[in-house]
Amino acid sequence: MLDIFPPLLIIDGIVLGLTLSLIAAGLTMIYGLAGVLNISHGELVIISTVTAAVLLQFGSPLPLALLAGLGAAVALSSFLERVVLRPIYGLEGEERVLLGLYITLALAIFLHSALVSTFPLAYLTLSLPIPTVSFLGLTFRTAQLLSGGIAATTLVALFLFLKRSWSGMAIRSLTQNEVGALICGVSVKRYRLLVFIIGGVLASSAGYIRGLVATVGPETGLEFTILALLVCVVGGVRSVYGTIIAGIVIGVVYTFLIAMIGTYLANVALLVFIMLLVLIKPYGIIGERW
Amino acid sequence: MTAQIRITRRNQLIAFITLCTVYIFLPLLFINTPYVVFIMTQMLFFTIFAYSFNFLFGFTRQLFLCIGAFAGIGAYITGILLRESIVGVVESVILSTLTVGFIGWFVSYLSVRRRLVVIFTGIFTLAITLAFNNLVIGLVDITGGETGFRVRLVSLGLLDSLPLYVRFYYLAAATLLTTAFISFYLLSYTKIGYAFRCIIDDEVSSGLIGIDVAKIKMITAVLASGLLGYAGALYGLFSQLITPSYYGFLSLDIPVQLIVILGGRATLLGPFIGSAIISILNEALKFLGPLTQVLYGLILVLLLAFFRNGIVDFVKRRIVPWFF
Repeated sequence: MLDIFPPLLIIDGIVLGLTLSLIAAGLTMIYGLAGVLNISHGELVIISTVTAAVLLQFGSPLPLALLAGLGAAVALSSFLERVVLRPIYGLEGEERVLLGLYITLALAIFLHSALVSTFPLAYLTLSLPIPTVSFLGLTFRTAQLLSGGIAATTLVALFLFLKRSWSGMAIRSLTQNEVGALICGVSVKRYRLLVFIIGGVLASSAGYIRGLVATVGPETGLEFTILALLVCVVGGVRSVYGTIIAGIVIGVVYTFLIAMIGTYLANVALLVFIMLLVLIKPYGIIGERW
Repeated sequence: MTAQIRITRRNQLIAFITLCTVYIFLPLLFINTPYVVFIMTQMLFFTIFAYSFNFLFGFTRQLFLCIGAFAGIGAYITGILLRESIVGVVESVILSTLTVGFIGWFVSYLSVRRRLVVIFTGIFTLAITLAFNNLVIGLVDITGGETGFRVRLVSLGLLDSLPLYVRFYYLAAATLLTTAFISFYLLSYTKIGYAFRCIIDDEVSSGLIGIDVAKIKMITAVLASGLLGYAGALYGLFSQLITPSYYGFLSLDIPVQLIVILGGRATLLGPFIGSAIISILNEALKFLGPLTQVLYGLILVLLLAFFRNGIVDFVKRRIVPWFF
């Protein structure tokens, strides 16, 4: 049934899972702080990969293209926070969540159609010179190890940032208790923008990391969003650490499902798996009620 | 106060009868131009889908982002059963209705009983849309993959003497007007309607005065999903071709959401007005090709930001007071 040796599949799954965790961590932070479930988050991934791919086609050097892609994602993310989402910040409770979801959904559709129709062939693949590495009798692709390493480093950096730095503590305090944090003198407006920028950086790096092991096409944005959202649901929204664990779980399960029953059916099976998980543990693996 | 309500109800009844008359006689004007009737039939189907979405989202705040997937499941079940000649038309349409109703109930059960908030339903149903698309494209042997498959023309009994599109026009119109009438009756004269109106205003307080919010939500989900399955099956029979692109998120969900938001959430007249406007707009913008979807996304953002309550509410608040 399985053509590939299981440990390799597990590594594949972990790499995919870490990539999804990067996207989902941004989503979680934005939801926790701004109360917006950003459906257009997957499009941020695509914006940066498309920008990089187009620049590469025009012959620009790799670092410059990657930086430009990162810049594009950050710019879009800030634009989203400052301009597009402005109407919702005056609202409260469910109305706000709903409208935020809707506006970002509409923006996602807009970006998706615009990107797919303008750059239908802007696929990003970052190929590395050395294809494989042998270790303990197993052959690994360097790209996989590298991308897994980069993703893990980014997540550790995010973790340290949230735990140690002043801004990270401010973000966590705002997520836990907005009024209390306001009384302590933490500016919601400033950190909201910061969270969106961090989300943009994380999404864009997720796109590049995915580009190391696979091809990222302009039409995959919604799929990234949905997978990341499912990671959020499983991890418990508002919990960044839960998101990381959930990302790895979902990545591994998804990869095994793809190897066993094929890509198309794997999506359905994953959904059923998550439905069962939600039935058993409605608040996510270690998340809180939301 | 009661007098005022009665007057509005009478007005609503008059509006409903006018609507019936218009919908019955309109295609007779265009009986020699099948294309116009085709567009009008399509509009009717979209109005039915919008009615479902309006009940799910407008009245009970269950954000089902899988209208296309539900309609598609209905269409595929009916289409496949008919292609393989397993059962007759009526049985397969009933089976579609029941299956989709059951799926809707399950999703609603998960989100309502588990007390998960509105976005949970949104995420979940979005994932259902993705799963449906993958399933349809993946199971090429059964569903025909990207290209889909053709459905033979079915007999509609008494309507068979009419031209092709007019038959389905009347079938869809009958469904839509029945749905509208039943909803009107339920909302105006029954306890369920009372509960609906309470839930629109405030969910928590309606729970406090003894309305079983969870039950109402689940009943709505079953009925609205069943309607989606039924209308989806009919839509498949009408277009005689079932492909994933007809039931995709961009081609079905987005227009339906536009119709509901433009017409007015939680109103009975809203979907009629919204769908008429969107159909005309769609025809007028045909030359744009794939750019239409870009435009739809933009319109949706603008509508949500600045015109959230829709046309019906706008007329009620801004225009009617001029006359009284």
